[in-house]
Amino acid sequence: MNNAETLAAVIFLVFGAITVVLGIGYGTGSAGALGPGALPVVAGGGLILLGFLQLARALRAAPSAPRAFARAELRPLLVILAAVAAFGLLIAPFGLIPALTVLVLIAWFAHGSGKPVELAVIVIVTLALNLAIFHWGLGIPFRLFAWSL
Amino acid sequence: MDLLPNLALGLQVAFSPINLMYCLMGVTLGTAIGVLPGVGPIITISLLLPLTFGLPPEASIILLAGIYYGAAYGGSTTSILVNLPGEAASAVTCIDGHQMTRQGRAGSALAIAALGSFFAGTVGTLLIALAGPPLASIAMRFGAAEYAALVFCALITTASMTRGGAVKGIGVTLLGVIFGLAGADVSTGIFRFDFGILELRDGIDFAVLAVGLFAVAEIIGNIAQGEENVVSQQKLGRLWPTRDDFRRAWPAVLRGTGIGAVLGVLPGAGLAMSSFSAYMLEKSIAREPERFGKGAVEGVAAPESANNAASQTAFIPTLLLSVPGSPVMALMLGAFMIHGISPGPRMMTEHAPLFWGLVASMWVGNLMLVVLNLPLIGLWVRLLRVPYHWLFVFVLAFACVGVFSTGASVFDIYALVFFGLLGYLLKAAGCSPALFILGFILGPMFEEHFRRAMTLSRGDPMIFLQRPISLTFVLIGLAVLLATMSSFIRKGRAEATD
Repeated sequence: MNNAETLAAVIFLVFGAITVVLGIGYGTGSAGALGPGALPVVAGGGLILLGFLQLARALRAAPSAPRAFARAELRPLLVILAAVAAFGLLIAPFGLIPALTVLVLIAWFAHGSGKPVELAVIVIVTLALNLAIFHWGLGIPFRLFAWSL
Repeated sequence: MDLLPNLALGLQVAFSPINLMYCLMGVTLGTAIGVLPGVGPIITISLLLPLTFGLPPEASIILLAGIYYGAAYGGSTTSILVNLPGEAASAVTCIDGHQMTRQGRAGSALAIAALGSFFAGTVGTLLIALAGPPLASIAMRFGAAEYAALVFCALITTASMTRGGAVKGIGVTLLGVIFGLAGADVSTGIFRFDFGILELRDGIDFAVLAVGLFAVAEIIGNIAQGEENVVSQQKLGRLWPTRDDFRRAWPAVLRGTGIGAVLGVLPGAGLAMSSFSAYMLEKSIAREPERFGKGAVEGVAAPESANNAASQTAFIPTLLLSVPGSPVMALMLGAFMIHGISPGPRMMTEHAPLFWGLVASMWVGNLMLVVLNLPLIGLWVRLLRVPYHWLFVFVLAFACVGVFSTGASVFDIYALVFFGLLGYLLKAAGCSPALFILGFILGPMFEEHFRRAMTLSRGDPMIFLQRPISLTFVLIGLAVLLATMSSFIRKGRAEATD
């Protein structure tokens, strides 16, 4: 089942179903006074319909359809998302500089090549450029280190 | 004819030193990011969007316009030098542009592209100025029914004309519509799709959505492909094209501009179709068509001019009707709305300096691209040689800091993780995230106008068919839908009998 066509169908069906259920809850109103749930129900219903059409297409094309997920993508996917999440976790308690440093340190391993010296340079360059653009350039009041407050 | 005073007003705004500086900054940043391999205008604009927060409206849209042109130009530079188009529209330029690079004529190819684009941009800007007032007076007569029908038509046409097929195209657009509806309902105040999260009550933050869907998801895909530097070490060659180049290029530029200007206005047609059509036209009327694909100057001049003319005239429906015809325009419209600027027929009269200032800045931006970027080509080439495994780390950091700078909200960063994952899944499923953005922007507009029209007609849906303008849009939309669906069924039968 690991193919792009099936994945599209699953995405459409899942989001369509959630939307219809929630939309009915918001109230669809009447034709002369459409409620907040009216368009969600129609859009979600349309999505479910397209999901089934897509599923039919996927089953027909099953053997020849391209694979949706490549093994090579798993590592960058997890590492990149983890790097962003770590930035979110650290920015409030520790400040911009520690959060950004950790982001770079984690993101570096998405690629899996390069020397430690390069990593050090990247950390410094990334910090310097981001501070130059946002902190000094645009004057956005970041807390650089949380304990500096 | 008050074209001249209007343009004079615009130029006055655009040439104020501070706005000139913003335009310059936008063009430079747009080119710098847009030139990176695999980074198209959509990613460039989303990445740079946070920079425009906190500026006054005029400055922010001038900066955005600069970014827009810079991004487009950066994309062509990459196509010509590296053979890696950042977007479909510059894919055609690769064919002959990269061949010219291999023959050591990269400099000339870049110069022809820049000069052709400038000419096309000038014509496009004039067209906006000319078409603006009459179109605005027509648009003033649009009621809720006309708007709803127009948005419907724009959504259907754009979604149907996607590469992955109409089912996926319409599906992913609808998904965008649903995400766009999140937040407080305008007429009842009910919070939709907020899942009890306070931050979602204002709806989904457009900048976060764009950065997650494009920048974060794109980085994941690019690393997996092991995209490493493929920049040719060839010499740039002389910059100024030869007399022969000029002789061959200028008619191609004229034809490309014409095609692009017309196609740019149509929803769904967009940049890719205009550059493809311009290339095909040149090839079919050429006396020696065999030169194409082997570094023909016309093969660079025509699509680049068409591309730029179309990216200019695409502003016509966006600015005058506030209905974007393409995903990039949806992104620009979303950016305008973040700054509290709602384009539409009234913008021209009520915010005259803003409107004409923007139009004039477009032209100034195009001019700057030529005078600034030709000497800077060496710098862009060096930027292209930065290894990808350095680049992506910086881009990711820039994206996170940018998003955080817009609202100092940790929730936005987690939303970035979510949309990064969603963008990755959509791409894995062969669905275009660009259409998602289009639905996201157009969905709430459609809902607002549709509900208002239905209330006005006391629940009678015939209102959409009784008014001639609205009827026309509905019929076009239905015709496109029917055509794509029938071709889908026919193809399905063919596959089944194979």
